[in-house]
Amino acid sequence: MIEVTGVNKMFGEIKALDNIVATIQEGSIFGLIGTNGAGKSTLLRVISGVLKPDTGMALIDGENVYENPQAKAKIFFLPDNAYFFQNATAKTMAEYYQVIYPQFDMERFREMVSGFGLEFTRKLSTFSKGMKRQVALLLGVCAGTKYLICDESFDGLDPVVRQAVKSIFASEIMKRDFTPIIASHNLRELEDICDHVGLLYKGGILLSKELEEMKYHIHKVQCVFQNAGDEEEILAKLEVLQHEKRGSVMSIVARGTKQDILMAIQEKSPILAEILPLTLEEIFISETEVAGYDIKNFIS
Amino acid sequence: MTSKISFLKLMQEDAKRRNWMLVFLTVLFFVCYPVLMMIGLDNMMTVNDAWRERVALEVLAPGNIGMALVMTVAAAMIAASEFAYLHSKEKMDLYYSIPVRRKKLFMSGYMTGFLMFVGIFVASEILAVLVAAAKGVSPSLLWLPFLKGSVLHIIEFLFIYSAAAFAMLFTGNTVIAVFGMMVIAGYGPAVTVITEAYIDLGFYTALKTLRIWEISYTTPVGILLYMERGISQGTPWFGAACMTLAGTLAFLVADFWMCTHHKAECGGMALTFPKTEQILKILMVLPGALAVGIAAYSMNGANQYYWLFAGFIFGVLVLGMLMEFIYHRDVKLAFAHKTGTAVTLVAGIFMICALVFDWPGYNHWMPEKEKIKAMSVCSRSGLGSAVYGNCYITENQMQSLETLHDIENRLDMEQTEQFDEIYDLVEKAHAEKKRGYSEDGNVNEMLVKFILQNGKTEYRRYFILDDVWNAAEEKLWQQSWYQKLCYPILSDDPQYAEKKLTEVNLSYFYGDDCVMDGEDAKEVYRIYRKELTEKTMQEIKTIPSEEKNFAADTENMDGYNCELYFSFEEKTKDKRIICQEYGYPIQKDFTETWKKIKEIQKKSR
Repeated sequence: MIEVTGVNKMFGEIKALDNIVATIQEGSIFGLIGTNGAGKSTLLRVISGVLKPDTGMALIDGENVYENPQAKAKIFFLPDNAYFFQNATAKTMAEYYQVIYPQFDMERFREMVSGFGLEFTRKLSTFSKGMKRQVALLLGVCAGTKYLICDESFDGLDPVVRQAVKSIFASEIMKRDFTPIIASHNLRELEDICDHVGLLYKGGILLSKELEEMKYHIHKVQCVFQNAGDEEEILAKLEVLQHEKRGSVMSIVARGTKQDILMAIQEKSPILAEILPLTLEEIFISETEVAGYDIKNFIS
Repeated sequence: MTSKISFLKLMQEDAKRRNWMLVFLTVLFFVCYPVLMMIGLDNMMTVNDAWRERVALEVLAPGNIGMALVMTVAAAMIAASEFAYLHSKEKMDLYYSIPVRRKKLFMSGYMTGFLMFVGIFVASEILAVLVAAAKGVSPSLLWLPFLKGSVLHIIEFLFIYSAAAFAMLFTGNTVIAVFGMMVIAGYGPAVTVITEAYIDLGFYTALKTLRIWEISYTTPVGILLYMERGISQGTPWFGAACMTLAGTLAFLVADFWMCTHHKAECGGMALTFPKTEQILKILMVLPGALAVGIAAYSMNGANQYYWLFAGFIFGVLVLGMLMEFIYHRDVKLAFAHKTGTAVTLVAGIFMICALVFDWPGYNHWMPEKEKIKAMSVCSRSGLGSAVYGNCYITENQMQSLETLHDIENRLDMEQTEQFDEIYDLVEKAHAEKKRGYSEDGNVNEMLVKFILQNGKTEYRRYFILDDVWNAAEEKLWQQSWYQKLCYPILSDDPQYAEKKLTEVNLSYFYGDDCVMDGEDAKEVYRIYRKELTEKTMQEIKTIPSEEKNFAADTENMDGYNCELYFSFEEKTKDKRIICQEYGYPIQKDFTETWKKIKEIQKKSR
């Protein structure tokens, strides 16, 4: 488990992290979402032991990660702009990581590099940005660490490769104790991979929840009622997060289970009532509007 | 749980990425040792064995100043390469996230660089020894100097390497780190020179003691050169060696502390510890602005003090802006750290006023007679001012200059407890308050040494009217201590004993010298010394008119147109000491001496 307890971090006069408290459970894929400048990279660097927080600490399985090789041995940090040695190839980088992480699986790495259509002994400086990202991700997976921290690592990957990486993550989670933490500003990218998400906004954690839990308890329903009075009654009865009307069609986003919401609507004998799938983006917008933050202008 | 990462493996991995450094060091030391040895010995092949051995020793043994500079360059380059990761955020994302403590990471890089240097350096030296052996120089002569030279140069390397690592750790940018290395090397001498310039300006009576310390001790490079020269020439080197080792240790301790407290977010910034910006700014701008002040004062012909203040203030503003630009690379922040600027201005103006207006009362210092135990005096244009001497020691075929004396140094050679005459002169100098040669009237620069009852020694210089000085010198010359001070061969110093005299050289300004040795030299020496002590001050100082026109009378070259040199030699089992005295007057009215010289010249024809 990774715990972040009361972490504050200032860069000069800029408050990058503001009293962050978060927990990342093992065995889940954690998505850290935030806008540009929200503090995602800073938080991940604190968790990786690269940055020292001004106050608070980041704990890896109960141990403070900063300057702690035992704790750091459990993590592999993939920054947004991974550094490769000059004239390095995938092979030489793997050899280096094999020294740093003795459990590094060289054979598997070789197979995966080949599987992705990359050359094992070609200079990484000749690779495209996307190819470099692929190599970095594969290095991270094959290092065999318990936690893999990815800072916007999926940017620059084509959809096919993205799917392949997601499959690899899923496979790793099944096979061993593996917890990826993925930071991104792209909700759609994370929607189908993460099962736990945290939203970072202006250096603070706005919310942190299981995705299924969020989806189970929030639903969007489209309905048409015969009487205007029925609409008002149903809005009063349900725990509505958001609603809008276009013509005679009303869209309601309400908290509750699917069955409860449908049952309440059916009592009013609507002409039409159907549950529509909610995207992660819609869930976040709804949740944050309730929290009093109007961030829909900022999330892409 | 993963096992601990082996230190050696870390070094191995680091070494894999230093191919260019291997190539650079190999080329550098290959040229400096075996190639240089070959070139030197090839030039000496027709000369005797002793010369070839000397050349070989010059390459390998301590005393090769050029090698100390090569060590400096190599150390700085290796440090810049090994610790460049500290200046890149991308690199620190890698190195600070892996399960290796920062100290271990630092040490593995440090040791990789060091071992790479040692391996190539020692291999090059061994190659040089083999080249020398192939050229006929016996290896048995070279092994000890080779060992001494190796150990010395490794110590030099470690010192500069640790200092360069400090610069890399303290800054967040390699260009600024290189600038920082130059500051570490040059700050001490720069501050010393600026301080001395102000002391000369304000404390115009300053002599010797306010030459704060030798410039060489104020910079790591200077300490190395001092140690190198000392070990090779048998002059004191232990102090410099201790300073080198202490300095290396101090830098290493600082390096360890900084690598632990180093902040990753400072990669790319000017300084790793931004809180030091203001202090550093004051430390850099203050001496720089003082230098600008003294430059402005000197350039202006009237030497008005307002130029000094104006130059200083200008320097504070401009240099302050430059420092801020280095910190922030933003012209809009040129006037940040206003407190630091204000402190610099106040401190600088206070220092200038203290010196210019002599607030400490240095120039007016005059102890009471009862507090003085002894005094000494001489003049830069008085008797003996043209005389100087040196002493060479030859050991293991290496010659070194041990001492050099001129009129100022000789204050320490002789003094008197009957100093009323000198005391009166100083009182007169205080009354006249003359500050230099530009003052009205003909002035004489008088150098005075005070030995106080409490054991302390003070030196001063005063400018006093020629007439006053000449009148006093006439009386001083009658005292034997003053005669010995002006002309050291008159002293009881055993290095000027007659039995050690090897040569007397009568040197003509136009024409061939007349060299006398053996008994002839001793006789001339005896006669000259006696005649010199019997002369009056006027007789020694006054040049007969016919002797002044040396251009007209080229046939009769004797007298003013000549000088006497004396050489003394002492041999021990391991050393040969040669002392030489120059500039002794031999006007025509040194009749007895001339008579003897003429006899010798006639005999030799």
